[in-house]
Amino acid sequence: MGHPGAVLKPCADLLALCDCNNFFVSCERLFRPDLEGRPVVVLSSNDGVVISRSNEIKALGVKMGEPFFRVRSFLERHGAAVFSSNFRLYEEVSARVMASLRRFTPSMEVYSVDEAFLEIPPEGKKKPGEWALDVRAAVLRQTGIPVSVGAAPTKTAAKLAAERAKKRPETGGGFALLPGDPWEDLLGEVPVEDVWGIGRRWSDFLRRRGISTALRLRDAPDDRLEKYLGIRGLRTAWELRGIRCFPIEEREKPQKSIQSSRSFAVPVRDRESLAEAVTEFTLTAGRRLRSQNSLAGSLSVSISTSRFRGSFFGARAEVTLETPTDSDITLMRAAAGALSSIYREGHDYEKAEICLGSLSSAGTVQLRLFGKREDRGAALSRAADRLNGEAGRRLLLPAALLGEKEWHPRKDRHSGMGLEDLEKLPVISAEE
Amino acid sequence: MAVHMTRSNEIQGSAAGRLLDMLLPRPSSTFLLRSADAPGSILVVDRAVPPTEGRKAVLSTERGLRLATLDSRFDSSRVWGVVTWVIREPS
Repeated sequence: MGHPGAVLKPCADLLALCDCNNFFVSCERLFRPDLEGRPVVVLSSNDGVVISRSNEIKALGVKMGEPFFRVRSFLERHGAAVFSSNFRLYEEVSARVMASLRRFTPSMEVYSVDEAFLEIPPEGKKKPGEWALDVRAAVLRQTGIPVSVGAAPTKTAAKLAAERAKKRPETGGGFALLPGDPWEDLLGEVPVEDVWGIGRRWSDFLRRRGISTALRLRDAPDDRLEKYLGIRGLRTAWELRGIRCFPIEEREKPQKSIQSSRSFAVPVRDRESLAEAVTEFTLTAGRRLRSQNSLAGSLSVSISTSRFRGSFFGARAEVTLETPTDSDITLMRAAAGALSSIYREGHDYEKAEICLGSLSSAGTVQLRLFGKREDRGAALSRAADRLNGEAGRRLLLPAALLGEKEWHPRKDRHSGMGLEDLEKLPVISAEE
Repeated sequence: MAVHMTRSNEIQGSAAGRLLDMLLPRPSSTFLLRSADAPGSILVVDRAVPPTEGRKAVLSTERGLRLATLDSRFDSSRVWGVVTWVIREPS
């Protein structure tokens, strides 16, 4: 492959990445100004590991993914506030941040719950740095969530610009990598694994070959890059040269597979409890399947014991469905069958996962409540989605799932707050 | 009961939709809170409304959020949001 400069000109157009700072922690702080400046962490479901850290926690040296039991007393000594994850709240806050951002751009890609790529509008392109700071100020004022905004000609560079904006207070939360500016100082400081799309998967390999920074990745010869990393990796390097390879993808791509899994609060031994858990995960996955208007062609169930205690046992079974479906009833039946084929007695199961695969579009299927059995199941599932959506909780669910579930995640430190459920609104008192 | 901040097509233009438009004209900056001193009532708080003297507002304090009426010496950096509506049962 020849040098790309011959055919591909550096992009003069600009886009931006808006990244919420310590997002889950910021959500927990939204109604708790008393936590400003204090160390705060959010734990994964079942209070297993640290998944979001305030800057104070980062300064104390607590790492992402640290098991909670290992840092628990350390956090207590430092007066940290510890929260169980409240994903419903985070999704509600995320929706507001995204709505707030949409007013700044003609085109936007919601990349994750706390990140979005924005096309910079013509008026912003004259002074991208100032535009970035305006966006940050507006989002903070409207939603209460601090964000970092990085502007650059490419997504990969915008990621690095946003990271710089986040790490350096003197930027004020906005930073621009502009075409024609020297990027070498910044790229030279970025470890290669911190480049978007590189990660741990490739960094060890690249480091052994002397490509240890973003700058060295940018300047490596194309033929070597393509040999090492394939076309995706080569494009990543081009993006660091300012050549846009990954455009903003406005339409949300339907997911290719849908997973639903959790670790259990207490290990599960018996078949019935495990079947209940698997049924519940199947319903969660089914709801997501219908919300993206897809049908599943296959379903897999995985179960496993703890990797930290005793001897490890894990198993997985995949079922191909007779016809693609989005009916909870069919999915639950398939999941139950798959589970019974892999369940072994005498193990303390700690985790179960459901994965719906071979997804296809549901198209404009007419749903008839009195049609074929399959149609009835799908119509019933959609009716349940609607009712539960309007109620803001699970009003309609299979009888098998009624009652207290000992395997439900432990959430001792859940803030219990929500933005939309009227039972969960934050309560405030008058000033004395 | 859940109040979805995004309006579905079904209620757009209906009485329910117009009522929500009146109460929550800027959904992305509007938050619903409850007052500990008036159980059952709901405060509609808009963070994008500029605070002015005499308005009811939610303040950020070291002890948490507090409801107050802004006097002439209020510090705008401490204003979390401005109360735009109070929904309560008639007494």
